[in-house]
Amino acid sequence: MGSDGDTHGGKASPHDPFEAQRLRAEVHARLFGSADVPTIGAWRVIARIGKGATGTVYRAVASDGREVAIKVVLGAGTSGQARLRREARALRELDHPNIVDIVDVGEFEHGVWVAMELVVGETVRAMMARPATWTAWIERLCPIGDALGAVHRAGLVHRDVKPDNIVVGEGGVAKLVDFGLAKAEPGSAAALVSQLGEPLTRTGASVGTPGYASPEQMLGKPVDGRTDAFALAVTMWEAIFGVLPFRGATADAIGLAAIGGRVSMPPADRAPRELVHALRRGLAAEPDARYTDVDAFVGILRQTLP
Amino acid sequence: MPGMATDPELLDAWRAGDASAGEALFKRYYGLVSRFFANKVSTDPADLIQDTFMGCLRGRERLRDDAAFRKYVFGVAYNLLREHYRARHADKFDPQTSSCADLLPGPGTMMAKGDEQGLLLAALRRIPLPLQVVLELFYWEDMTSATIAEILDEPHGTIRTRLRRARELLGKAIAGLDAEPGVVHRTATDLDGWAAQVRAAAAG
Repeated sequence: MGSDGDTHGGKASPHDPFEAQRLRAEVHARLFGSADVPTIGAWRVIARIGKGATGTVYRAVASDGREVAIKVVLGAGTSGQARLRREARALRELDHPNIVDIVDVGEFEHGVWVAMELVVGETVRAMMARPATWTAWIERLCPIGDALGAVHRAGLVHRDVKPDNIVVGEGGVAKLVDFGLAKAEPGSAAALVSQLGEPLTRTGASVGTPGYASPEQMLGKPVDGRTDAFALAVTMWEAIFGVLPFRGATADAIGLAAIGGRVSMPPADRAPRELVHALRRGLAAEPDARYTDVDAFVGILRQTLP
Repeated sequence: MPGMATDPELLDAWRAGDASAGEALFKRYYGLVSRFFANKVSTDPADLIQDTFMGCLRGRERLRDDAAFRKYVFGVAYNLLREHYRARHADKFDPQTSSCADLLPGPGTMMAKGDEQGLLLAALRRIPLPLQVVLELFYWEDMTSATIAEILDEPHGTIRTRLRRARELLGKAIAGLDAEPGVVHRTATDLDGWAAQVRAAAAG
């Protein structure tokens, strides 16, 4: 960028210099057949999958042909970058069939990057467009609860469980993707990008998505595994009943309903009473009023299956 | 020698099959073309940037000088942008009234307090596309209203009116984005000066 003869040079995207460089190389390669393909670590970046305000997800390939999704997180600050690295490395140690594999982690001049297994499949959000029984949803999503149990035992919290962050790949295996690697600083805007490329934006001091974020998360209090269990309960409720458990015309109104513990009535006869009861307990405003941990929660859910 | 050649000479050479001439043009104009699309599409702009250069390559127009070439590039890019919106938003795209914020999902409203560049970009996305385009050409590319009129193939008076209207709407959009009071005051009193400062800061 910005070489001598570049009379109209400048920053196409001042927020993301790496993306500007990659885009230029891509267009150059398309027009003239060759270019210096930008690399991240040992990975050659071949395309952009998705983009948000603080980071971008790329499809990249290794010299042996293996493809990954690389998430680049920008502007996390020095302490934020150290935390991201620590968390990504801890995640890498987790070997769970329902958690996306972390393949490589590193940093470069623009920020921190995490290379993940490229999961080809459909998000739970997309699957919700088609009708499915409550038993199908509980069977499909309880393994995500198991995955969260492993995450929590490793001392981590996902912070952004929702239908968009669960991908069902080949063989019907659900995988948890996009860990909350970009934690917003108070008062700043932050965005996470799902691995599949939908920009998911939010503002405020807490990471999490309105509608799925736990009350303690929205209030900026310390969070633990019960926050993820809460978000999983919201996800299951939405999948089974077709609506969010907390209603409101705006994100703030939905958040207030969650903080006030006002769960809407589910449509009758869609699921057995024991299941509704278990989900309601999972959605309690006070963490202490929920199940002790996500393992206990999914244990009870599995008992409701015929 | 591509380094010494004028833009029309490079274009002619590229059209005649000299790829290095094309690369020289690419080097000169990539920044301008990518900036033009940066604040207007939510998808990866690679296709639009590529098509702009391909459009110049395939065109038959003979251009007098560098200034004429610059206008030509913008004309091609602007037409491609309109086609892009039409194809993607056939149901709701009215080129005269649609704004990027209407058409694009995404982080248009997202910015940190104090991020004046983010504020300017977000506000620009909230005004109708033809007004956004004239203001961006005015602020980013330092074009006069006469040059903008030529590029967009509109009467000069129309563009002057459009610029005036664009400034009004931009000021309102900035106030509507809940900017800090100091910024609102400065944009209300000296919008062009503020925009120039923000632009200069962003360019480093």
